[in-house]
Amino acid sequence: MIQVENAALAETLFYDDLPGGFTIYILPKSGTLQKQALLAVDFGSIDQSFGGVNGYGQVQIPAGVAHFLEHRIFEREGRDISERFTALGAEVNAHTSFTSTAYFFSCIDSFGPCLDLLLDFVLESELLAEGLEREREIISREIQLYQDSLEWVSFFALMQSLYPGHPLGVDIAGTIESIRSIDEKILQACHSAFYHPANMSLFVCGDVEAERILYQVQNFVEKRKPLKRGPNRRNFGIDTGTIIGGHQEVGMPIHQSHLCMGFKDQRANLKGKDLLRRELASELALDILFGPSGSFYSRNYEKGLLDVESFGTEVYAEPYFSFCVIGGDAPQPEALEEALLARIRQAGNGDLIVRDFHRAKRKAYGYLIQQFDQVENCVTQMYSAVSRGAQPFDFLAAFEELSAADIGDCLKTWLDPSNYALSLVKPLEQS
Amino acid sequence: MSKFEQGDFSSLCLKNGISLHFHQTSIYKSTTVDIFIRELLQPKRNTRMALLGRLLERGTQRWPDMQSMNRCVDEMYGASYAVDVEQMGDQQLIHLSFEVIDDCFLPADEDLLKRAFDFLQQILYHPVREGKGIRSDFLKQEKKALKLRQDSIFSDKMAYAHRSCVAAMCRNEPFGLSNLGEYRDFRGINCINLLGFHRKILAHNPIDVFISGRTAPERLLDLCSDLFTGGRQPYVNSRRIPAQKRVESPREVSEFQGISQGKLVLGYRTQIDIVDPNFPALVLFNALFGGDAHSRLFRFIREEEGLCYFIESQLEPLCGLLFLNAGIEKDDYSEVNHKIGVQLDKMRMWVGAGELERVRSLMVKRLVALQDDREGLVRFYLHARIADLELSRDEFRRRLEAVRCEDISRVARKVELDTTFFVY
Repeated sequence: MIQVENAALAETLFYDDLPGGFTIYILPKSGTLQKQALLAVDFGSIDQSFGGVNGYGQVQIPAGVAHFLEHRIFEREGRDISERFTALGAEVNAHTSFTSTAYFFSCIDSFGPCLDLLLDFVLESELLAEGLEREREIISREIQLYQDSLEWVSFFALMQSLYPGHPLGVDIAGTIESIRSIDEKILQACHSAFYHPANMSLFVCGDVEAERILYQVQNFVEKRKPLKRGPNRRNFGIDTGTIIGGHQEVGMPIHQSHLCMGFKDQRANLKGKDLLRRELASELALDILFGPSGSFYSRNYEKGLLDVESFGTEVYAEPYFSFCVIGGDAPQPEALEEALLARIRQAGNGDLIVRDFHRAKRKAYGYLIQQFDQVENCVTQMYSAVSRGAQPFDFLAAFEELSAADIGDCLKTWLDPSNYALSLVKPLEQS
Repeated sequence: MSKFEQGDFSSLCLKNGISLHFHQTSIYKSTTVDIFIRELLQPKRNTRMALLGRLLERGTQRWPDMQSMNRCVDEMYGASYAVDVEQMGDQQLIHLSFEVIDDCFLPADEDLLKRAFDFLQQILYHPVREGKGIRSDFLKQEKKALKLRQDSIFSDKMAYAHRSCVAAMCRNEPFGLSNLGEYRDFRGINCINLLGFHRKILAHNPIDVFISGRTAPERLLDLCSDLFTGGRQPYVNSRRIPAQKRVESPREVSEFQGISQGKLVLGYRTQIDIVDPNFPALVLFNALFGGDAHSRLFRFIREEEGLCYFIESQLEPLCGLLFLNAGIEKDDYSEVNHKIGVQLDKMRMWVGAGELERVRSLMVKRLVALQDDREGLVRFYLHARIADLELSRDEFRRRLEAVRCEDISRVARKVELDTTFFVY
């Protein structure tokens, strides 16, 4: 097991690569009561086409399989596995994203038995046949629920403009139509293809002994027969070039229009620490241009063009696709769009960045430190770094390396005012 | 200065109605300061509170606009400052929160905590002014922004359904008023009377300050003494003792909007609030009814019948109200309502020892886990403060542990459906 200390955070990390490709990261934190573990599987909503599994060629699956599988994994021996966690005094949950599925629990006592249970139920290969139709029913309602969420609708309308025809533009849970064709065979096949140790990582934080956890996990993983070869899923065929027809308009029963503008990073295909640095650089760029401490924000707030509660920016930096979103409720969407673009054009000469870099970097430092504060955040941070090919403390290393030139580069190759997508959700009577 | 211990926080009274609560801990890398200024929800005044909360983010004499204020906070290594106007039971609270990294995690010693308190002092006592009032352009902009916020509830259908249910159910009660205030009150609010209101609530209203971090209480007391420099008038606790209102006949309201999934909210009166000896049983009843992932409603309505994706109940501990939220199909409205009623009836008759133990261990775990959850810990003690109740987590745990199956059924018999709201 490798031990890494970080002086700035005053934290020590332990990690190891186990035989069979399973990776484990442990951040002991003394004095805390809560313990948390997260088991991540590299299988997400955009894995709809993959090859190299058990001698088959390229396989196509419908939208929503990763999420459907996440639901089904909880059904074991005819009962919901979460009841067994509750009996141990723990709470368990799961989450599916574009590229992965995460199962996690938190507890105070019984960490060992909970960890065994987590590894056991996620890796157990036999899926239950009964209850599939009822699950389909529940998932349909989950999809419908999100169809009424303004932020969700607006986000996916934007994704369709940014990545037309790609699974990134489809709800993570799939569509009511796509989940109709998901059957036991597909779920079972995807479980065998993706749910094996080589395709997983485990993250633990809390007042725990690293050696003991490692020993427990080693024992568990050794009992599993390692798979010869994992699925060949990358690189998802994502177009990082010019955005075509990037304008979507949707009507909803709301009073206020909601605008989202999205930009694709043309320097996709970064990973590891370079990707974290790129992410930080773009976050700083957006903070300098549109953050609450900039002149754009206060000027347009005073004009009534943006709403403090909902206006914001977000960066999604993944190894094969990175994009950022700017937006919020917009009483005058066209004027806000124009103001956003004008700000980016004006920033092109770089003066603004140099002038404000120091403040933005100081702020980012405080945020980074705080990310390693609570147990839950630590687990999320470790997962976030590792899932993108970096090490957990690389966030700080990337921060140290960050220069104003990185931000200038983001402006040139990411925030291009001539290459953006837009989604506008309007009140029904107007659209 | 009177001092009283209350479980996790050591508390003391600084001045008339200003109470300080310190939680010294080194498990975090930052210090949080939460200031709550509260009063009973009242027509017209609720709109003033809502506007004032927003203006506390607009500027001070030293940092006269939003940009300079935000830059000042950023310079403290990404500290965060925010103001929320919240509702807890029949109370409306202006909540100022400040979080700042501890000096030991900074490249150099900067005494950020002192700077944070200087900043808060400016916010509370030196708002940016224009003559004898608040800056008129700021007030105008904040009225507009608050209107936008009031309207945006309509975009979040679950929040809208919840708000509509509360408004219908508690029409003539403080709880029925909105923490965001009402647009129609704007006309009566001007720069001068709002500044007067600001001064008045600082001098009269109960103020609770919760601080959590590694700094020693003695130093925090000095910082707080320098913070609250203004004079104080004798104060009265703002809480009204809620009348336990009986339900005469249940009300049903529905509204068509053409959304993809109907949002159902059921409002119940429990006749039990946080000070009632039956409150621990009510907490467990709620968890068992619809409050957690294995609740009866979750199991029967979602898992067995597949009638919804989410169904959850929550308690309003200060007013003894219980709300049930669900996302359902329009055509399932009657069936779901009927099945919820059946589950409530069953719980009135019988609750199993196994299911009680399950929710009890879950609730105890959550209560114990508050040690690592600053926000949750503050909320726990704030509720007790508002109710003028001395209750530590240990004591509450003992009370949860004493609840028996028949207590849950007895509580269930007191729970009465008041208002059903459905938007579809």
